[in-house]
Parts: sequence; C-alpha cells; structure tokens
Amino acid sequence: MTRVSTSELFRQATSALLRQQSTMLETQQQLASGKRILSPADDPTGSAQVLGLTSAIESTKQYARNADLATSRLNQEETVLAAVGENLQRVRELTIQAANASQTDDTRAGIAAEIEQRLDELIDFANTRDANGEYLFAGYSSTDQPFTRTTAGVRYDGDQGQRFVALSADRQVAVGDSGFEVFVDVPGGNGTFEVDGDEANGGSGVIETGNVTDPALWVPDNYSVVFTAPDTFELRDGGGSVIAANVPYASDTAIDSIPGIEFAIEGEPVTGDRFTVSATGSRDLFSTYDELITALRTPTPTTAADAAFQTDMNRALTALDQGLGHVQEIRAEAGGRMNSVDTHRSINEKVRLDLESSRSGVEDIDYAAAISRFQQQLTAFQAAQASFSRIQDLSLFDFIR
Amino acid sequence: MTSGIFGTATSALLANQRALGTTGHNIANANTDGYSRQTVDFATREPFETGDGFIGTGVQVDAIRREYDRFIANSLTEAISAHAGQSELAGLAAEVDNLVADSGSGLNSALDGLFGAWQDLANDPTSMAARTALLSEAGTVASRFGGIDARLDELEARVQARVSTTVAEINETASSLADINREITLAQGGADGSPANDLLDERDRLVNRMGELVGITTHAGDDGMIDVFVGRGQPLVLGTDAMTLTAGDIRLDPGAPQVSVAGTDGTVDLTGLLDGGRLGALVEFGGRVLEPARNAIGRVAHGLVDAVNDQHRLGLDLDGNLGGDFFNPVADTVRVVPGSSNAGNAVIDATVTDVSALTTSDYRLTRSGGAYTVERLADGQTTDVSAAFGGGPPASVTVDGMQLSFNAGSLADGDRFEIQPTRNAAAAVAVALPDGRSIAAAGPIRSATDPANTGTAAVSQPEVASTANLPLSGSGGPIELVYDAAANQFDVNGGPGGTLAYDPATDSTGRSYTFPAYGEMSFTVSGTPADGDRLVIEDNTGGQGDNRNALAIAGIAGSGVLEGGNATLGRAYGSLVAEVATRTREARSAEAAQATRLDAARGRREEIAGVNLDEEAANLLRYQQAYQASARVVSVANELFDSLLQAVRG
Repeated sequence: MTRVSTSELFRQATSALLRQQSTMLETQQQLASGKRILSPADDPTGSAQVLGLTSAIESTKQYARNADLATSRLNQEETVLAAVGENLQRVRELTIQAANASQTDDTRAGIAAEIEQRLDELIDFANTRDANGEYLFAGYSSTDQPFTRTTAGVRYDGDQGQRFVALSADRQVAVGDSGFEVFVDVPGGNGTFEVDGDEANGGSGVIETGNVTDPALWVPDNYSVVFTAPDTFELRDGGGSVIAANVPYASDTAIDSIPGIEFAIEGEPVTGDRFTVSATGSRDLFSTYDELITALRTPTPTTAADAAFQTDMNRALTALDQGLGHVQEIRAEAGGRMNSVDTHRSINEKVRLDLESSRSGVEDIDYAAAISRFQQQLTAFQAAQASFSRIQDLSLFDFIR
Repeated sequence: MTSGIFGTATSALLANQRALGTTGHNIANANTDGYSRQTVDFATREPFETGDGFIGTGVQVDAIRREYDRFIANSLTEAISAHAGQSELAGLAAEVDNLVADSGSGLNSALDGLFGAWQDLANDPTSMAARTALLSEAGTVASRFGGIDARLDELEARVQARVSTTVAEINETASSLADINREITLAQGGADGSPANDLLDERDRLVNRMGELVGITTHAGDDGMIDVFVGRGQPLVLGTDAMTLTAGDIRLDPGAPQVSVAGTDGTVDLTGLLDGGRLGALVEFGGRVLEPARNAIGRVAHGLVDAVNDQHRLGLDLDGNLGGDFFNPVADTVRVVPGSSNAGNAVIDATVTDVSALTTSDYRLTRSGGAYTVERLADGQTTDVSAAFGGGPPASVTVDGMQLSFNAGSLADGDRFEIQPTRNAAAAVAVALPDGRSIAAAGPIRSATDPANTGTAAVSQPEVASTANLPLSGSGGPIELVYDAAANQFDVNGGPGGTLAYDPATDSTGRSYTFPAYGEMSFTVSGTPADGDRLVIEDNTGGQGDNRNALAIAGIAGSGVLEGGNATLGRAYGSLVAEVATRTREARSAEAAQATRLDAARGRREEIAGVNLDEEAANLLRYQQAYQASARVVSVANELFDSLLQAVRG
C-alpha cells in the first residue's frame, strides 16, 4: 500500500491541473496562430527548414519582380526596334523609288527631304528613354544622351555595355542592347566586303554588290579594279601591287579574280576608271542615311554621274537590307529573351508554390488533429478538476464529533 | 500494590500525552515543507520481580523519532538539483531561442531584405529611390545585428550577475549548514543521543536548498554531522567548517575560472566540474548556448561585412569613383585579453584575414615550457606556433582565418591570452556610406570592339577581382588588343603589354585571359578577328546605368561565404537558429523529465515522511482512548484504595 501524505495529495493534484492547463494553452496558441511551431525549440530541424524556405520564397518573389522588370524593358526595346524596322523599310522603298530612271533631280531632292525626316526620327528612336529617364540604347552610360548629330555625322557617346537582370540564382538575362549593337555595329557592304566606284570615273560602269563564294579563301584587303583599257582591267591589292593584269572585261559578267568572292561591273567604263572592293567593318545606320541623302541631292547631268548615282543606290540598298536584317536579328534575340523570361517566370511561380506548400507542411497546424487533441485535453482537465474537488472533501476529522 | 497500579497508570498517562503532543505536532506541521512526520516509540518499563513472577510497571517513551530514509532523502536532493538546473537552463535558452528566431528581431528577414534591395538596385541602377531604399535595408541589417547582440550582451551580464548572487547564496547556505551541524551535535549530545528531529529536518531543508543552487553530494559522519561536496568531491562543508566559493568575472577576464574554491593545495577551478543546480546551469548556458550564439552571429557579421565590402570596393559609384567600404570594417573587432596573472609584457593583436576559415570558437594562446600554443577552445585542438613566436616580436601567425601578431614584449612561461575572434563583430556592424550616390553598382572597366573591325571577334565584359592599377586612366590608359593574324596573337598595347595567343581555328568559341596586375581582370575573346582588328578595355566612364557590381553583391546571398565556401550567410544563421533551438529543446525535455523524477522522489519521501491527516486523526483517537483508559485505571486504583481505607476505618 502506498501511503499518501495530505499535502502531497494537494500538491500532486494541483501540479497535474497546472500541467494540463499549460498543454491546453499550447494547443490553444497553435490553433490561434495556425502554426505548429510556436518557438524554434518545438521543432529545431523544422524551424531551420522554415527559415531556409522563407528565404527561398522571398528570393522567388524577388525574381518575379526582376522578371516583370525585364519584360517591361524588353517590351519597350521591342517596340522601338519595330519602329526602327518600319523606318528602314520606308527608306528602302524611297530608295527604290529614287533609283528609278524616271526621277529627276528635283523629285530626288524631295525624296531626300523625306529621308532627312526619317533620319531625325531614327535618331529619336536611338535616343529613346525608359520610364526612369534612362536612355535605352546607351550601354552602361545610360544617363547621357547616346546619339548626337554633328556635321561629321551622328556620333555615338555610349558604350558597348549590356544590362543584365537575375531571373534565378544562376540565370541572368540581358534586358537590352547597346546603341552600338543596334545602330552602329551593322555589317557594312554585303557583310564581308563593300564595293564603290571612284568619284572621278568617266565611264558608265556601275559595280554591283557582289557576294562571297568561299569564305575560307577570302583574304580581307582593300582591292581595286583599275581599267587599263575599256575592255581590260587589272586587280590591285591594298598595297597597290598588281595581283592580276590584263583581265578582259565584259559587262555584267562575274569577276572572280579575287579569291573567295565574285562581283560584276555593268556598263562601259573608260580607261583609268577605278572601282574598289574593300574588306568592310561595320557601318552605322545613320551614315547610310547621310550618304543616301547626299547621293540624292547630287545632280546627275552626265552618264558618269548617273553611274556614280546608281552605284550609290546599290550601296544604299545593300546597306538598308543589312540594316533591316540586323534589326530583325536583334528583335529576334530580344523576343528570345522575352520567351526565356516568361519560361523562368512560370518556373519561378511553380517553385514558389512548391516552396510555400513545403513550408506550410512544416510549420502549419493540422487543424483536425489539433482540435480533437484540444477536445481530449479539455475533457481530461475537467475530469481532473471534478475528481480533485471530490477527494479533498474527504477527511476523517469531519466524523470526529 | 496500589502504588504499582498508580505508577503503571501514570506512566501510560504520560506516554500517551507525549504521543498526543507528537500527533498534535504532526498535525500542526502537516503543511510545513521538509517536515518529517514524527512517531513515538513506546516500550514496556522494566518489570517488578515478585514471588509470583514479573509484574509489569507500565510504559515508557523510548524515543520520539522522525520517519526518514537517508537514501530517499539523497535521491530527492539529486532530483531537486537536476530539476533546478534544467529549468534554469530551459528558461535562459528559450530567451536566446526566441530572440534569434523571431521574424521581428531575427536576422534572416533583414538579410533577405538587404539582398532584395541590391537586386532592386541592379534592376534600376540610376534610381536614387532604389539607392536610398538599399541604404535603409542595410541600416536595418546593422540594427538587427546590434539589437541581437545588445540583447545577448545584456543576457550575458545578467547571467554573470546571477552567478555572483548564486555563489553568495551558496556560501551563506554552506555556513548555515556548518552552524546547524554544530547545533545538532550539541543538542543530541545533551539529550543522550536522542535525535534532534526538527533540527535534522532543518538541515535537510538546507541541503535541498544547496542542491537547488548547485549539484552536491553529501556524506553523513558518525558524529551526526554531514559533509557536503561539490564538483568532483571538492569539500564545501566539512563538519562545522564551511569553505567559500569565489565567482570570477568572465566578461573582464574570459580565461579566469568562473567559479573556484580555495582548497588545501591552492585554488581549484570548479567551472567545468559543476553539474546540476542553478550554478551548473548558468555556467553551462554561458559556455554552450550564449557564447556560441554570440560567436556565430558575430561570424555572420564578419562574413556579410567582408563579402559586401570586398565586392563593393570593386565597383564604381554614381560619380565614377571606386567604391569604398559599404559597411564599417569589422576585421579588427577581434578581442585579445591578456590573462590576469600574466608575468610577461607581450603585446598581442589579432585581426581576421579570411572569413571563410573562421570558426565560432574562442582561442587561447599560451606559453608553456617555452612552447607557444594556440588552442581552439571549442574542441581543444591545438596549433603549435613556436616556430613563429619563438623568435620573439615582431612575428605573426594565422590560425583559422585569424592573424595573430606578436608586436612587442615577451611572454613568460604560463602566460596566456584569451582571443575572441567573432564575439564583438555583430555590435560593430554599421553602414559606412554617407549617401546613395556612393553605392558602387557599376563595374570599373568595360570592353568594346572597334566598329572598323572587319573580323567577327567579340570580347566579353571584363570581371575584376581587385583594384590593382584601376582606374586604368591612372596606369597608362585603356588597354588595346590588336590582332596579328600572321602570328595568331593579340598584341597588347597598354596595361601589362606583351601578347595573347589566339588561334581562331581552335579558340573561336571563346578563350579566357587574365591580367593579374590590372584588377585581376578576366575576359573572354571569341569569334574570328581579322588582322589589325582592335578590342579595347577601358575605364567605365559615365557608366551609371551599369549594374554589374550590384548583381555581384546581390549574388553574395547565394554564395558560400563561410565555412570554406560551404555555407551561405543565411545558411550559417539558420544553423545557429537550429543549434540554439536544439539546445533549448534538450533543456526543455530534460526539464520535463526531471520534473517527473522530482515528483516521484518527492512522492517517495512523502510516502514515508509526509503527514496524513486521516492517519493523525486515527492516532489522535487511539492515544486519546489509551489516555482515557489509563485515567480509568487511576480511578479504579483510587477506588481500591478507598475501599481499603473504609475497611480499615471499619
């Protein structure tokens, strides 16, 4: 038999009641907060997980903000590039119109005036600012106006930097292109070489753009075709050395004496006429427009001048086609980036949902289980209270009279 | 004959009176803590020898003794000790636990906010609003570090004060025990060895009180006195003598014993030997929870400040200047405390040189037998630094990412220096930048290809790892790479000069180069350059829209800054939270277990020594009846005597 002391009876009964109260309070707090973990000590591993998950959720939210920003910047770039494309297309149409033999010096001057407008428009596009007042096409130097018109053409003051935005911990996407990339670094000529006729040519020879037959054989240099007689010419390299002499000339027939490329001259050159075939770097869109305007404003009183004009038109059309292709390419790239941003956004969104559901699984309470536990605790507590009051009623002294 | 009956009855009256008195004492003390129920031992008196045989002469009280079991009393003391310790520990640990994990005061949300603000700045590097927001987030991080550290510091001061008051209470209790030992011996000696029940109870109460303060063992001597021992058998009370414990201030002298006792052969350091009780818990809390937590937070502070500052210095601010410190540097917050008993005059300094190698431990530099040793206190691992320090100052040595410099003076044998590499860093975190313009979001240099190039060569934007020879305008201007097709190489004009081999046939997919002397810049060239093509690397003048450095700093959130590159800042903080939570949980469940054990021990003691009022009521009736019966015997004897007198009177 266990002997029970009277004070122990009370002490144990009260301490049991207190204990039950405190577990009930804990369940109540869990129910009220909806959280299973009230302090990290309740579940150390779980709460460390929650910290990590919360940070991860915060970064997915940040990446979602970044993606929104990337989309808006890329959208803006795309809009401007579309307008630039239309501008180029219009100038191309005007150029074709101007090259038509029916044009007079006056009508060409009219066309030149419109192209002048288009050039202003193009410079405006190139100086587009975003919502924060930053220049879109300035590279890193986004607070300084990148393109300025000078007497020597349009000058680029920006740089070749490109801004990136983080879409995830290990993926960054460019949210724009520098003005250099879009407007300046346009391949000149046909992308490999550029042809031109000498200003002083007296004949009606017009050189065509030409094309590359074998890039491996092409040796970049500034070649020239010099007519030694109306039906013979020689080829010189950049140093002036003759690399092919006495080549017979036939109008509109491919000349393939320079390794890797071919081109044709059409018309009737005279002795001493020169044509150049030079390796080309890039050529900015503005100088293409400028050159075109100058050509359109130059009167063509002679066949030689007319031939020079036709050569210029050929050159301009080639450059405009290059420009169109180039702008299309950049638009495609920007579009690709937008796709990539969208893909990442939806992946990110899914990751965030997954993370949130993991976090909820770790830290949130299972209401059904908690409520039934609370009910149990309440019943036990009431039973303890009731039995305690019964037990403490009993005392032998009550019976000693 | 009647005198025999009177004698017998009177002895019974007296004995039962004693018994009634003792029952009354029991009832009176039913609720007295630590009271042991007393019982009266009755014994027959020596019988009277007659021709008829032995005639009983009544009853006598042999002893009034308390119901007591030494074994049970000892196990109660132990349970009290263990429970008091765990409950103290659980309470203190919970404070740290709630502090570090709370989303309002914890660091995680502030770090998320800071790196989020860097991302926002990267998204919009010219925006003053984003810059101001970033500075404010950085201020939040700094104040979180400061806030947590201040709370922990305050807790440390509180613990230190509590150690002192507990030691004082222990000393007081020890001298009370010595006194009561003396009183008990005197009392029991004066009463022919009868137990001094209430004094014994009082002493047990003191022993239990002592157990609550510190873990003890007791030994009962034959002379009725008990001896009390702490730690591993260090005497605290020996008979009528009490020793005095001394509390050291570990905040002023971290290497000194926190608790010591003066023994016969010198002072004994009890710090590591205490087990249980409030004092044991306080010492354990300091060493296992509080200090590691402060060190871990300090280490995160070191990591954050170093990583952000290092990257920030590599950038350009809105005015085109190289970035300064983003946060005030904390590398020099390492605390070096010379031992209080050092005989030498050595001057030792320490600074953090590599945060990724930092640990959360404290260190101790000692000279012993001519050898210089640095001990990592957390795990006792030692590093012999005699080679560096043996030759005297100036000398320096690097241990776990921290450089110790022996600047002047000398160490005597036995001298020690306590080193706390990370303890004070969190309090020192503060934003150093004056305004948003000085946030360095841009990279310092940029690359460009010449529009006149006829080849397809491209060059990536260079990355830098130092500011050596930056900006380039101060070290010869832009660096130009000009391609020499015949030699398959770039001639480098400016910068380090020389040539870079580049063969388009094999390298056109990209080849990387580094100029170690020029900002350790690295860049990749790809494509097919034509002869004479130029690539340029120049200062990023006017590059206010550049966000490369902001992106790099935002990336610190996900990079392994600590533990040799294995732990991000968030992760390191998370593992601190988990560690504190685990300790708290341990203490909490140990407290619950000890509460059960204490309940059981108390129940067992009460089983024997507790007063049950029903039992006492029964005893009351029992002794009352015996008393009444004895009184009746007296009256019967009286009647017998009366009838005899009447017979004589006739």
